[in-house]
Amino acid sequence: MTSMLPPTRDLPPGRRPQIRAELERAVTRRRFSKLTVPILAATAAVLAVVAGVVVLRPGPTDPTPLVQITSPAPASASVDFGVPPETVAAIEEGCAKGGGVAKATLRLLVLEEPQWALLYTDREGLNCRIGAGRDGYSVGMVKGDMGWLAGHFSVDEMSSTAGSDAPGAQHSEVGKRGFHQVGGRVSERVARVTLSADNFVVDAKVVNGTYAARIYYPSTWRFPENGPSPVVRAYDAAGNLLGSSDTSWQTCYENPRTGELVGSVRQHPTDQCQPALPWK
Amino acid sequence: MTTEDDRALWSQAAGGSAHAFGVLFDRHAKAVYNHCFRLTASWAEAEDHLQATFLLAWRKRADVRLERESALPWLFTVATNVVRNEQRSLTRRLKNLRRVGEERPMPDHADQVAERLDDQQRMKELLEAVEGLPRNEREALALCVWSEVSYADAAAVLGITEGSVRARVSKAKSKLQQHRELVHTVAHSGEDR
Repeated sequence: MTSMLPPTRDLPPGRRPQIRAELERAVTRRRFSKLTVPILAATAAVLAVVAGVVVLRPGPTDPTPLVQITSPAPASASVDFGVPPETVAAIEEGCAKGGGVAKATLRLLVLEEPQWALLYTDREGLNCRIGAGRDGYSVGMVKGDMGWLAGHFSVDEMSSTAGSDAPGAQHSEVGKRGFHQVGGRVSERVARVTLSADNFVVDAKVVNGTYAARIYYPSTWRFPENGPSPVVRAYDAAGNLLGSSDTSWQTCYENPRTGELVGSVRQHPTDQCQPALPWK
Repeated sequence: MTTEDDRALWSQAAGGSAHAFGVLFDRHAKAVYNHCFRLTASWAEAEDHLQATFLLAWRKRADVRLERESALPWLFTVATNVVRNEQRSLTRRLKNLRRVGEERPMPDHADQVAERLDDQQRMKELLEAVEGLPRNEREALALCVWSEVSYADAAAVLGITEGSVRARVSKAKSKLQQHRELVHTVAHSGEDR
């Protein structure tokens, strides 16, 4: 690792007055109805710390009882992941434990090294690296209502891993390739997903309502500090572009049943949002 | 920024002045925002934590008396607690990083968006490097080295001795000798505090 700490930055344009206005409303009204559940949960927890009082803290799922629960993800038993059922069960258990959730359903498994899997609950998406971490499962997580998509696809995982022989790399092994990696969910219309980076384009594996792709590099590769991010694009069966990760932020989506925003795009006026698409 | 300014504003805020509190927000929002980012590696979550920090500060305004010349060290500790308790620990924080696709979009030019995404990737790596430190050392490092709070100010807001703060930072530094960039100051680009 050779990088310096990132530079200090100001809030994105428009966010400072927006947050200030929200705070003013809150302090003027002396109540917090405009604030999000996570903020309330954090506030309650911090108050306990400031007061120096030991309290029984709520479990991870406690702050979300007001959120509409969508139908659970389908069971993975009917899907052939290319491994025995007991291996699927072990992955689901290990990844769920690593992510701190009670149960998660395996939706996609990449057997190419390093192995990784995408698992989902109603409210969490887990990208789980198998054979890594203290317990053999290293888990990254995205939170939200997994029953809806902001467009035709989501990017629930996007990461870059330097090769083991790259300058400053801390791998214990040698000869391990570097790679960009993406994964997420797709709508029923999506037939093809591509990952583009550094003039390379690869087709993602699209199965079971999810996708995953990697672009590999030599073991001496380390991702550029200031290079452009990889881009995910989704297409329908006729080859029409349904969405691209480098432009998807321009549109906001809301749950057509509840009006809740999907994908955290609060800057946009909500009257301009499009209906989110269901994910099964 | 002067000693009296922050103290006076805080006193007015404690009396219920939303305007004074707003001025404090304007003054310190950027610093708190960046502090939260360094704890989470997510600009979007830093926005939420910034808001939560100032909301909590407002709720605690009557209970807190500023003893130091700036409200910022105390705000940093509040922000640290907000982040810590929101995800229980920095280790868990790393496991719960929102991924790029879930990040709140930034209505900037594309290159600025890319820079922020790069920031997040870089910060994530740095946080992984300090993940093995005890929490008190990790937070002392973030407070005193990354956010440049003085040992005396940190001691005051943490309720420990200045020597203890120094010891925590020193231990953290000694354990991170192979990551020298972590124990030196941030590559500032015009911090306004």
